[in-house]
Amino acid sequence: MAEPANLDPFGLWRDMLGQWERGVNSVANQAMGSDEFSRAVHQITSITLRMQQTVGEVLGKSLQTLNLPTRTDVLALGERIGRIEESLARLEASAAAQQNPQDAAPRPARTRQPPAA
Amino acid sequence: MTETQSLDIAAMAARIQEETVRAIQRAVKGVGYFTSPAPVMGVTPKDLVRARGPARLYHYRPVEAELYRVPVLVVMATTNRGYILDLAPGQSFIEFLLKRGFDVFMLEWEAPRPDEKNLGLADYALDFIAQAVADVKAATGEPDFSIIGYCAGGMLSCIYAGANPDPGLKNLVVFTTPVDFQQLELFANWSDKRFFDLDRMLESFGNIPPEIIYASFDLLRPAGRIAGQIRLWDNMWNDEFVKSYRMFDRWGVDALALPGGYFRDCVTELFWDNKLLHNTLVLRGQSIDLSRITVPFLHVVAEHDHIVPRGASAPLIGLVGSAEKSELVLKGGHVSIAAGANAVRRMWPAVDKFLASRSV
Repeated sequence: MAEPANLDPFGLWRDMLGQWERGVNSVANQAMGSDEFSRAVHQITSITLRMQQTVGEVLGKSLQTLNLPTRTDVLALGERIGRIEESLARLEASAAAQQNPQDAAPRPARTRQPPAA
Repeated sequence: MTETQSLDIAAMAARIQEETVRAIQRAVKGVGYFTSPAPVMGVTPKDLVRARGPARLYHYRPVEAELYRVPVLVVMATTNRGYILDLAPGQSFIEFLLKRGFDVFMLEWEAPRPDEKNLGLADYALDFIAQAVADVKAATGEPDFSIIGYCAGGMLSCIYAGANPDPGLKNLVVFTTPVDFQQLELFANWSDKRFFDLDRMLESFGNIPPEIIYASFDLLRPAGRIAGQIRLWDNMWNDEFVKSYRMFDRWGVDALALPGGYFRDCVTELFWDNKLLHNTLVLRGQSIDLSRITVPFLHVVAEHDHIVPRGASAPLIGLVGSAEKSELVLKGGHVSIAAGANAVRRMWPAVDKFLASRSV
């Protein structure tokens, strides 16, 4: 005897969503795996990056004229702050290491054995 | 009317009633969803041991009075934050390890600063991991340690262990670790050297922005985000589903920037020349040979991993030189293997079983 058809419309709708997702992913993955896709994406990226670079250079010159810091100046400051933070972290670690060991909480024993099989 | 037809009608009426209740709950809980903050993750108590460049070494506070002698160093993937292994109480791999009596450290990553754009694969695999190992040894007083690496963290751990194995390395466990980069087909195609102007990209960006990392992961399943949001709405009545969705969604959108140098090394050495697979990778003059890994080795892989497909991770088990080595293939995807229901039921106990007897 044939199985009765599944007439749950909500279940059918959810199945359709799953099938749609798998179908779109499969088609898109095939397209994105082609040489044409790779070439097109990199051409677009290359043009965008060139434009970005040109705009950056023009803006940098304008900021210099206005006696304002450029991105490079801000990055240099960030680098110096980063080094100061690292020095502080080293000092903190060194201070913590010099603490009286008796103040530290007792360490758990490292004697645990695996449970018997 | 037959008995079967009357039963069908009754079942359909019950189904419609159920869907009506869910529709009301969706509307009510949907408002709550958009007005409530994202779930807090990574809450297991921990102390910062060292911050150096983008590397952060944390020591999780033990919860058991008696620990295994050998501490565990978890090395996170470079594109993700560590909380993916510490989602929430009951869904945290870290919490699980602590409750099983392991002393757990985690090496995770922050986004690199602009001046750190030249950090490369060697800095991550040979320098930061070696420093973390030294810190773990100093903090525990133990000469031995185990490493657990997740995804790219597994790759870095294998490179570290394949360079000049530290005699203290007792066990190596890696999850979903790629070794054949030509099998990451879409990533390999997108970085095809015939079309990819790597120098221009690095010159323009310095570090690779997280948006590019996020978009490239998202493009692997272009319909996934739309279908996911439809499923979220469909399951808005289900608090557990919504909580889980929000946590896993953060994994995708909270990608980390990568240093330009690291990205360059991955593209040229791994994607273009597939040197890890062929044992021809050389970092700082040191050859990386995975057959030098001779400690007990476990590789856990996901059957339906769309980020690191089986073809990319499968050769690893054959390349390591360990006498005791095994591969565990589990149902699930790249993230759910480490943090989903299947992880809780199968992967975590398997790792515990593997490490426990080898950590005394």
